[in-house]
Amino acid sequence: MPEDKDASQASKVHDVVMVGAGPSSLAAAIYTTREDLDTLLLEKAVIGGLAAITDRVDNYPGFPEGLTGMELAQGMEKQAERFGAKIDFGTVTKLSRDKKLNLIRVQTEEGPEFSAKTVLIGTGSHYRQLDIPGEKEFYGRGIHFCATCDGAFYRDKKLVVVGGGNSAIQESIFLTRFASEIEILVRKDKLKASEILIEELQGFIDSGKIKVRYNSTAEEFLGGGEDGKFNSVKAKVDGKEEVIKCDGVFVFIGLIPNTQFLKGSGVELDEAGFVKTDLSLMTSVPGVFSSGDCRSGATMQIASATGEGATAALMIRQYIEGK
Amino acid sequence: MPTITMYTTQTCASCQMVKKWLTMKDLKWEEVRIDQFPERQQEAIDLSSSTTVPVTVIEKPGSMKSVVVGFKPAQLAEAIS
Repeated sequence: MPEDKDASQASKVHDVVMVGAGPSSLAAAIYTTREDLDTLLLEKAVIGGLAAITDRVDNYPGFPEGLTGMELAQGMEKQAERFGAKIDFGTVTKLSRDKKLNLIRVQTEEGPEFSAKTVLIGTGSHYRQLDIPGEKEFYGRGIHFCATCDGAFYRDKKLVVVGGGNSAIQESIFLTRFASEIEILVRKDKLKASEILIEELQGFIDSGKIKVRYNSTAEEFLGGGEDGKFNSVKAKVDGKEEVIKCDGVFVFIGLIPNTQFLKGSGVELDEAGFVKTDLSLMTSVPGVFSSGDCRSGATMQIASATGEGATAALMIRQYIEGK
Repeated sequence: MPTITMYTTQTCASCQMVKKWLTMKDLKWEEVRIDQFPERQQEAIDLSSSTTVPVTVIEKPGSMKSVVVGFKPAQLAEAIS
């Protein structure tokens, strides 16, 4: 008789279900599967998370020449699958604890519900939006948050990048492959990015390809003409209003944890929405752990996320053995 | 079997996810790399009304063409059903 996949998944109790398949969960999965723990990862978007959409990763140990975020993510995915991790696409909408059976129920938008002895929340974060007029209207057609996805549409065009941290500078440098001219709007009077990136950026400033505008904020995205297409940013530069004509904008102004689905689960969050954990990376709900960018106190580094993933895996094993 | 055309770029991670999803469903597709063939960018823009990839176009005999922008498993599933 053919197996009803949904029914079989629903009745099966996994040792661990990992919500999100970013670097932290993938690292944890390498460890849990090597301990023969039945491991299922559920990812709603990109396996590898934000790391996978990052142009270049030069600070992950073991790769002296650096590599693309996608290469790193694909390597982690293959390594986890090599030891038996199962990665499925699915959007988790709710976690709840079955106190009677001492299990965690994981509900998905697509329908299937999964049961597990433990859960690892490794949902990472997403880029913060500016929340200014025009942002929603021109989202995906002028306003973007992923340079590696959408940069190619701006060959020989003028771009504005908003932000002054590592992502903004790294992705601006990537965008020079396509754009003829880039203006970076930085809110403060200096960049927050690493020194090595600032040094690299200087070469593009010297060649006139990139211009950095300090004390500058984007106030509104504007369109016009017959087709109403996006065509400029209304900005405040040194307190004065200015309209900057451009073909597209890429926004990198910080990260927001992907933890909205935990509302009502009993998992305690900090005031910024990050998951609170104890020293064993367990949350306020017994059997539910968290690691990586969504965890309160995270340093938002891939190396930290994988390290936390490994720690969480060992703590999960200990929790299951002690059950 | 639907005819599937996917507009992608080499560096786009979401494009890889659409390919993985289609492979899981045993479906084949034609890939148009807009970073390699910029002259075909306008096709993707016209189909999706956006400047983003992936753009997946699914055509089934006797039914309307479906266009899915981004990696959206639920929309892809509906388009191939």
